[in-house]
Amino acid sequence: MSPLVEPFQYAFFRNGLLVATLAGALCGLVGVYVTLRGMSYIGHGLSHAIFGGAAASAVVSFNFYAGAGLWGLASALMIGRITRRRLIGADAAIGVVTTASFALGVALLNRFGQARRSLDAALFGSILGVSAADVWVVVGVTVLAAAVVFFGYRALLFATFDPEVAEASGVRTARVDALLLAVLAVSILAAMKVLGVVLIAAALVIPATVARMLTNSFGRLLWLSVAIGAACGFVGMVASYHLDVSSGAAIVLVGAVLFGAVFAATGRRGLRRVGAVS
Amino acid sequence: MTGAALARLDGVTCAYGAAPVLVEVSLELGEGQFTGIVGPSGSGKTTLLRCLLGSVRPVAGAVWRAPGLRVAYVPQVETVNWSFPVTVAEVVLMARTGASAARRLPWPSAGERRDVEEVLERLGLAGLGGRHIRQLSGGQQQRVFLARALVARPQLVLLDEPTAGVDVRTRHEVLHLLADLNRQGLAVALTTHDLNGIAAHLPRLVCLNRRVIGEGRPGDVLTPEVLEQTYGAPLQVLHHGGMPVVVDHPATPAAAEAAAPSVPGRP
Repeated sequence: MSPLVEPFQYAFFRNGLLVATLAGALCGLVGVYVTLRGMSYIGHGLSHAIFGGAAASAVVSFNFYAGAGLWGLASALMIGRITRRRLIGADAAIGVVTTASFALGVALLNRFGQARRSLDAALFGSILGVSAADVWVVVGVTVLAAAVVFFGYRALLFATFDPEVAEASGVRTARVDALLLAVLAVSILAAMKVLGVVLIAAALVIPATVARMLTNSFGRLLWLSVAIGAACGFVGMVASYHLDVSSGAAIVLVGAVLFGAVFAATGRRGLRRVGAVS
Repeated sequence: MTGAALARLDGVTCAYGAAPVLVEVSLELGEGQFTGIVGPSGSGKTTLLRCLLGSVRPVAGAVWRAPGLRVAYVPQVETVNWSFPVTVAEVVLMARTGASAARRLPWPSAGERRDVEEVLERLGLAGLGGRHIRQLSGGQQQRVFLARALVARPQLVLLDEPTAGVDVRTRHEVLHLLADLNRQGLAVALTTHDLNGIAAHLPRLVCLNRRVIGEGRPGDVLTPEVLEQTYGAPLQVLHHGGMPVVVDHPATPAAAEAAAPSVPGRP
């Protein structure tokens, strides 16, 4: 049997590959809005906050998605509370709450977890942690996010590009913002097992950034970013198996190589599209 | 050619927090009118437009709009994110969003595509639909946002500083285009701080500094008294070829000469 097809005989690998490809596509889709709205720090913070909840759930044997999800929600509310007092900026509030939550997660896993192995898996992603239930969660969240973007395409684009005029034209921008934040949160939750806490922010940013260098049209950008994310997930997961490196790291590295290649190929033209050169 | 009222502010007071931005402002915009709202920065010009749009609620007074009024808004070009990945056609199509949109699918219908092409052609942007918004001249960039407003088929269009940060030629272009649209029956209201380049050429002016200081034709409104109240500094008004020319330093023939060449429509 060819070594390239060999891993496909294992159910765990097929599951992992499906989850990685879908999670890559999902992050590519949501990442378009995250990068254009300057929300990547929120994504970074959310994944770290959720990690605390995941660790706490693991310690008390509570359902991962329910525990991590509730914890993430509580963190978001706390950030809102702190920011509203206006003494502390939102970026600092995100820094404090999510890093503390992350630190608590590390401490819990150190003290009660199976130490190194589970910590590595949570931080950098692992194919071994993927169960059949995880496959269904990723499929469900991907369908949900795709439906939100499909039916909300026009409102999302208008509210992202030009919130003031969108509001004046009857788009409920506050509702659009909240919806997008919710989709981001569930996407992070669903993609966390294969991508890992630390690396998920890169999976959100890379596909959209690479796609941006290739097109000036929003419609094409969305498709390209999804395709690039899915390709990175697929190739990264296969590489992860053969090279014996964590799945999140492999997926992000594939994305980074692609970024470098496109960057070199498009040269200054691509740079100008991203807005770095005026 | 002033017809029925389209929108009206009755004693409107607006505030962000404790500080009032507009105080007891009353103003009517009628069918076919072309109105310029002038005043210094912070005088409440943009807030006044937002009140008319309904995106800012007054703390006192009433905003009335004709039932079923279609009103469109053109933001300041300086506030646009020019590196955002959108084409000209994608920007124009944004007008077909929200409660008024008959279609929710991402891609435009054949009819919508036709409407976009039509409005681009009308504004001299034919064939540019596939371009990125940054790959346009200053005048074209301004017209893209006007095209987005027009594709919603408004009766009234509100423009926030349509000539801020653009060169003299673009200012000309924009002013002439708006005058043409106005002649075709569109009611236009714009804010500007450009007294000589824009305001003096409009049929109707409103001088605003939190309150309405003066209202009427430029010849009647652009007087030293009204301008001093509006801008809080003494300004002089000269007359050049029948047009008022506002200067902010002691009037000398040289100052009048310096101001004159920037007047659109004049050699």
